[in-house]
Amino acid sequence: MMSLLEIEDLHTYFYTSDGVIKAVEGINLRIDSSETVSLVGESGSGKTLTALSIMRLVPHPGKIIKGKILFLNNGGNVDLLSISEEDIRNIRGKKISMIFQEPFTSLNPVFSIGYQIAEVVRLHLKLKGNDMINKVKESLNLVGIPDINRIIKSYPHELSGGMRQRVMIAMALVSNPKLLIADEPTTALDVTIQAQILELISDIKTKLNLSVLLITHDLGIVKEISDKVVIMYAGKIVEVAKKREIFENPLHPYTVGLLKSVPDINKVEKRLYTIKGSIPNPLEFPSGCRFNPRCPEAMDICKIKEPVETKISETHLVRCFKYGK
Amino acid sequence: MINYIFKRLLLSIVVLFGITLITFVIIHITPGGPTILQTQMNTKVSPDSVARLKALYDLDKPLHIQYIKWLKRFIKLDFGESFVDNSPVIKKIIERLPATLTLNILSLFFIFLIAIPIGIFSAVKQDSFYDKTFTTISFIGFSIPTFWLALLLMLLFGVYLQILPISGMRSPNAENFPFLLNLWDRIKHLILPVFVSAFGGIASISRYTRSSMLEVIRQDYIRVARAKGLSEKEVIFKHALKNALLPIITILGLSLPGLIGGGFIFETIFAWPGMGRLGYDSAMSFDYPVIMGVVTIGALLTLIGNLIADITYALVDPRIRYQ
Amino acid sequence: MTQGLGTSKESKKLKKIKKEKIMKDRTEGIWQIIWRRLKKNKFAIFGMVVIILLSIIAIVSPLISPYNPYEQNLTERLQPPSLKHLCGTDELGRDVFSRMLYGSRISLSVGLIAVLIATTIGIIVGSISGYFGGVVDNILMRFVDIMLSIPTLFLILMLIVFLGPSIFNVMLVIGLTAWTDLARLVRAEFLSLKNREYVLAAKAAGAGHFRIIFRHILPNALSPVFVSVIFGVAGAILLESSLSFLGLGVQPPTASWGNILTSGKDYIESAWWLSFFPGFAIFITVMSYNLLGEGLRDALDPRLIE
Repeated sequence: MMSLLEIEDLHTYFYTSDGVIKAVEGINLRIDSSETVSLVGESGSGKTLTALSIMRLVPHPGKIIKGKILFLNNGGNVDLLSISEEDIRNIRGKKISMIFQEPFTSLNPVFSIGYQIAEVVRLHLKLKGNDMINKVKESLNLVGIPDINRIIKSYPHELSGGMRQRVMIAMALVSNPKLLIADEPTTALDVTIQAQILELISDIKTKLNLSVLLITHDLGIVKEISDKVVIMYAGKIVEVAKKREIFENPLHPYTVGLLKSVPDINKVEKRLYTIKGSIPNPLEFPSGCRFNPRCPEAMDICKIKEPVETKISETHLVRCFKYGK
Repeated sequence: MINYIFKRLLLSIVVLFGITLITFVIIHITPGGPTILQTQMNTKVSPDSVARLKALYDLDKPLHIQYIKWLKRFIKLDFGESFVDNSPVIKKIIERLPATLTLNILSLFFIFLIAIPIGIFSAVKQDSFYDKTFTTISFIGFSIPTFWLALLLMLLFGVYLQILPISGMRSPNAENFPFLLNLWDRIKHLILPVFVSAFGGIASISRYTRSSMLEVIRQDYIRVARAKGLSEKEVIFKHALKNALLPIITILGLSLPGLIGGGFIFETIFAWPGMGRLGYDSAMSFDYPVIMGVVTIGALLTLIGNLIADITYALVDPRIRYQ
Repeated sequence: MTQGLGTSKESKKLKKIKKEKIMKDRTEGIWQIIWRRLKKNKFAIFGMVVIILLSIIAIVSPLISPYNPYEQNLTERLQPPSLKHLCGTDELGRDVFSRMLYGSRISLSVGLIAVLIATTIGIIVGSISGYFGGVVDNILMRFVDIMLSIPTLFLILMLIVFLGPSIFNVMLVIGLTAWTDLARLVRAEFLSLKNREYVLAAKAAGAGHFRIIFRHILPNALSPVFVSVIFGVAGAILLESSLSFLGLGVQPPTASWGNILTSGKDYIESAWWLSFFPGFAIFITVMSYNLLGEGLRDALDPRLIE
């Protein structure tokens, strides 16, 4: 099976007045058709930037330094990082769509809901007039929005957070993309709404045969809807595995720590577990393995050299000296 | 939205009352009123002014009766008669109003035309050579005293290069010129005053536009617009601009007093026969009724301008339009 | 990271010294931080240097002035700049450079006093409005709206005419019309600060209103005041020179940069120096204040603090 998206050795840096931040360094990631991949990590791990790199929306002063992002388009592979500006715009919103974390600020306050969705329909599906309007209504229906005729004419401030996020999803999916990148889509919502939105995404991805790259720091969500899990730390991928493998057999000490940090309602614990320390200053990553200052199993070599990716099984990969070089 | 407009209207009325009050207070500001002033001042004040002022403002009667009389006159826009030539104040003001309005409206037009594109461009190309240059120029723009700028320009274009006239609205004999020459004459006379009048406004509005655009471009919905595949042009000129211009409407409303008031300086310098010049001349000749009239009308114009700005804002921003 | 040290006593001592240094660095006053950030802005420093220079000149002007600014010399009227008269002479033969030196005293003193008046009124109105809220706030802010509706120059014009043109009246009038922006800023600060915990704590301890306003909230609300003061001086200097230019401010023969420019206008076709130099002085002064003000505003901006 050909992969839908393959990131090869991606490096994205930020050039700030205080120095260079190597926010994403050497990422290799693969997403297959109809696969849901969760990209997990704390804030500052580089996960959002990885997603933005796919869309080539890295904000100033960031820059994609090197790497390839191969995307399966029209039967062949195309390197998203080397195509023209016009071509990437043809992919954004059409073949690869992205939804973001904050529904409250993601919609333009001065345009109606219908208008904002219609923009995509007009641009990518080349529909006009009634065809366009019908397509807009169809997309709102898909995401379960009631009273469509009223909503189309409404403005963002008239809708709740959950509704807005549904609109975002409608807008992202109206042109039937192959990949949906969702950057913490439920973090800013109430817990009950979270569940609804997740369920919506789950339903739709099966309906439309959609691949999803879900960025999150919430392991509960990961467990709900992922096929594959990718753990990121300080700009590097430290473990990749199928969902089951991650939860039953976590290998990297960071992954172990993350799983331990989630309190289990069934256990009686005197103290909540936390990974000691905090994420490093991105301007001064520790030498050797970037996790070593916080790692309970750090060895001498961890302070000196960086481990490379070691394949444990066909689907399980880890970057740690415990398991290889 | 009706709610919003209604509230603004109500506020305007309150402010109107306040203006009448303040102007009333100022008439009486010196102990004994301006009448004392005359006896201390030099020969500029004519001797019978004292008596006339007393008659005009009923300075002999108790304060509250004076105020009511003042209010009544205010509503009729009756400011009495000029001490200098006895013609009704309101008539004098109306004669001068078109000249001032021409200047102000043209200034506003150019401010819009020039400052907003500069602001957008500076924001989009932040920290580039153009941005830094424009920022410097704007900075100089609002540090430079307008009357000095006017003098320098008059020196350069009027005295040394001799290509532009430095005073008045038209040359003497202009009525006898053929139509096109007449038009060109008018335009020549407009160039320097409009430039000076608009300069400060261009400097500040371009900076406000720039910062407003920068603020908007940082917003999430702009990133979303790009993620939808829209061209950068559409993102900037459709999605960003509309949002960035909203606060500019408010700022324009707030800069109206400056525009109208500033007119008084450069109308004087360029001998422009407008309301500001009238205010200055009457100040110099202690023509109190005219001064009061000019100030009050100026305040009224500002109030109206602000109201228009508020209503425009309410119409354009859907968050206010649909509440 | 400490490497292996000798006796435990030494290592303890070292740790103590290290701890103290860290504490000292951490409590580096907010003023030091602001100063450090300000220093980075070359323009702001330039502005500050010019301001200091001008202030010194203003103070020592009688000592360095080559001529008596009132001394007329009708045989030398309207002379262009020369070695004898650095900025030329005016229509009464007075040395322009000397008049400008004395004029700097006027500009600076008007600037400072007018701003003092405006700042006092602004702080009082703003803090009362922000702290008490409700009806008091409403009334005060309506009053501000009213003042803002009248074009400032017209208002000043009217006040000057009714009060009479003089330096003192100019200071007073500018002060009376320039406080509105500051009042709004102070009010905004008060609105956001009055619900902070330390205020509630003071209230719980029984502190009265004025004590709370002046000792607890005001010191924290002051940062916009500093920026406002600097821009205020720039504005006041501009206003004073405009008024003097029009004959409504400082009256000749007292020299003010503005009223030298009046001669500049009258003699524009024969004496360019009367227009150029005083205006340039005003420009440089105002710009320096604006540069410093901008620099200070950026240095104080909480959003830029990482």
